[in-house]
Amino acid sequence: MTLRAEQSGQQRGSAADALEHFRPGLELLALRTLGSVDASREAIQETLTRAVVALANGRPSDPEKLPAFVAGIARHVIVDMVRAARRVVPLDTLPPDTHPSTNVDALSSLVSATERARVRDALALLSAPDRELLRLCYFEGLSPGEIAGRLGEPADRVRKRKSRALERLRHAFRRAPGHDERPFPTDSLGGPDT
Amino acid sequence: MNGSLNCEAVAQRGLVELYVSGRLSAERDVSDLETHLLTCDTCREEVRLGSVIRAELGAPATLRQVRPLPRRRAWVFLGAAAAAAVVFVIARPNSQDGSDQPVVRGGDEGIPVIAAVSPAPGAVVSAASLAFVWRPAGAGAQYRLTVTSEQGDVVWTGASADTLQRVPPTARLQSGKSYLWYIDALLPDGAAATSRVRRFTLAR
Repeated sequence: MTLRAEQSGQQRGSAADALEHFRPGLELLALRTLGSVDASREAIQETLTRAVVALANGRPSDPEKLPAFVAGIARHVIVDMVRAARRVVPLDTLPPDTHPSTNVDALSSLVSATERARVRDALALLSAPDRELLRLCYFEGLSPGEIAGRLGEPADRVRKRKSRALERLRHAFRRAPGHDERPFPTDSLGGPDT
Repeated sequence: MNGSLNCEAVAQRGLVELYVSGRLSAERDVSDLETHLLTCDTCREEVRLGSVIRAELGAPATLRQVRPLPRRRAWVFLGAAAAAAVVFVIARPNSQDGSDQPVVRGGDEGIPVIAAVSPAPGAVVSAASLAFVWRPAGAGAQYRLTVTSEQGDVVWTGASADTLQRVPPTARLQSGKSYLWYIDALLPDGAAATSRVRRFTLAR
């Protein structure tokens, strides 16, 4: 190996290390759009590869813009994969249960069945008004201010109610031993990419 | 590009709520939030938690409690045997992920769920072969198929006693676009049944 090649390899290695802490966030973005664990892993790998090359070439020039830079690459990669999937998805010639899109379940990729069950149990313990408040937030997409206007309550009170309810659910979400940040189901993961 | 978004700004603007509900549409906002999510464990967790909440609380506790919100639809469905009109208030389908799971319409009220068969969740189908099929809800049931845009606007609705319906060309579904669909049924004894919301895309 020449000295230059060795230096280049070292640069890429350190760039890869610098990017590794973006992996959990990239997993979230990819899974949310692609739904499939396999497709998401491919998207993350492609994103990180492109980012490593870019870093080795001195981009982005401002290190503070690295997260936005990586997120931008991820969006391009994910959109490309969605478009490619649309081009190759067989239409209605296949039985529904063999259609590739039936394998896509973003939610079950984002959270485990256990986590979901724990949140469901915690939701059942909330008061009906608090459940409705959370529904308005995360299903209707309303901000606490909009909800306050709709319910005729002060916005601050709505924010506090939401914060308290969410904290109880967070507690349930994190409760079980072994909970970690990885959205991927552990049984779907191989070893770390090398 | 903006690296200055912090948790406080995210909370103040309700960005996670909009993101989870699929209503965060401005490209700049999506870009800024996703950049923030790359480095923020707390907001990432809220997205995951919010996704579960959305799936679990996708419909109001009871259909009777639904407020007359601007984004809700009401329609009148005439039963086969009953002379009286029955009014269903339908929560606007807002599923963005194409799965069968997140939107449970009427489930808490004990209304039976109709099993939708085709198109499969997220399927891409040609206009020529587009047909909606579901399993019978019971003898003598009358069904209403509703197809909406992703924004929840009804683009076609039709009633039938059959468990297969096709959308006529007058509905003007556009190729390459995604739509949501669901079934409501009225049984001869006045009981109701409903399907979950599914998404399909019309092939180009």
